Amino acid sequence: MQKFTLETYDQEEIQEGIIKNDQSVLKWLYESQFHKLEKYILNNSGSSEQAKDTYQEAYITVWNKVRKGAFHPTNGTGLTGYLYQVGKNKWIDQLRSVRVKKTTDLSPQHDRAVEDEEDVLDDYRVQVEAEFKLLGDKCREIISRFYFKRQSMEEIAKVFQWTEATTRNNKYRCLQRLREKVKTKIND
Amino acid sequence: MKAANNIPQEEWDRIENHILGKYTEGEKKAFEQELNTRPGLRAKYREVESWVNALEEVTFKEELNRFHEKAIGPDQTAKIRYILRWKPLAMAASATLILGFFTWYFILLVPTHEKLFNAYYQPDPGLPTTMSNTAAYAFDRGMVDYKTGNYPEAINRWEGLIAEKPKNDTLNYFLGNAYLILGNAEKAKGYLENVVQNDQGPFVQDAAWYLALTYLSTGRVQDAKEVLDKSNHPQKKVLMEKLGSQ
Repeated sequence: MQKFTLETYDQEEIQEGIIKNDQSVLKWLYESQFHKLEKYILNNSGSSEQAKDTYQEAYITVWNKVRKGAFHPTNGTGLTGYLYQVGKNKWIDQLRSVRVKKTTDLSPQHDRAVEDEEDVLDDYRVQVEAEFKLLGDKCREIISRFYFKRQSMEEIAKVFQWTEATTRNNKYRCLQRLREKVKTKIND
Repeated sequence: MKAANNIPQEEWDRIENHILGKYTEGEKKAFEQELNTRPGLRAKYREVESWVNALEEVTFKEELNRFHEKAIGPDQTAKIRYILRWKPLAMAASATLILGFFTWYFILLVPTHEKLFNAYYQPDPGLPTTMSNTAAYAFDRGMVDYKTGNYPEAINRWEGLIAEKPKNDTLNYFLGNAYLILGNAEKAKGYLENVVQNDQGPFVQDAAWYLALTYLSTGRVQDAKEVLDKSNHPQKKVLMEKLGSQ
């Protein structure tokens, strides 16, 4: 596949990088596409902070799609164009939802069930994110190395100079702490 | 999210190994058999799975924040301000060098048809949806997917409809656009050609524009020129001139 204008990775490399959570690819994609969407949001009643949040939501959506094999571009602009479009649509929806809240709810009943389910899922993710931030540094690092960097127990053990068994136990304890906190918040 | 199950460490690790694809074929098969027969295991599996998904996302988001801070955040802005204040000559020289490199790269290495596609392609934003309970509901639901960026789902819904109405220009037009956004030029071409060849209806001129860009993305410059003639896009003339010089 051909390399695209000014890009240092082609589509296949970007997709492979996303699937493997390759930090240099993810970082490059993040940086190279942010300002395009930021410009659009700033020109359409948004702030830099909102541009960042919207872009990150879009980025996570695209990341999930690629990892699940639900995205197959065949030309040089597929993925970056898709990222921009997802971000743009999310911003349009955001503007629309503010307008809808100010006026009236036009959605039919049968769609509300799906939205309510999504809201519950979003609440859960928000709680996980909030409680994760409150965990100790070591817990956050173990979890991040395991779930984001996909490091093995052996690799993580080396970093902390623990045995593999201790690393495994510590990871479980961190998760238990997080689960308990999220459970308490959700049941409040 | 239901109340948390009590999941001992060993069980958590076993479930997680399956979710993260760490098992050999034999281990995977044995675990799946257990999953189907042992009461309560599936509920625990679902819980671990939702945790794994949430943790992958949360840790990924942390990483995104780090990218943002490093490359785009306030620190970077301050650094740039400092450089702008104290090193204007160095900045000018760097800018010239970078510009020179990009110009060289752009002119010499990137095929012109790709540059043109990139310069002129803006995805169709879609139609307003009313979410009514009418026969058009299925189409509108697909349009909501399209506008929220869920293009594969929009395609899925509309391809279900187009089987019954293969000549419907709206369906052909938006299916073509959804495929183009996803980068599938081959599929996009087929649907957009259906609209243009039909030669009537409100989407012909827009479809001609996107079909021209689809041809461009695959290097079919002559075909792009021919179909562009049917478009009324405001940038048609400029693009035509650029194509004419090739």
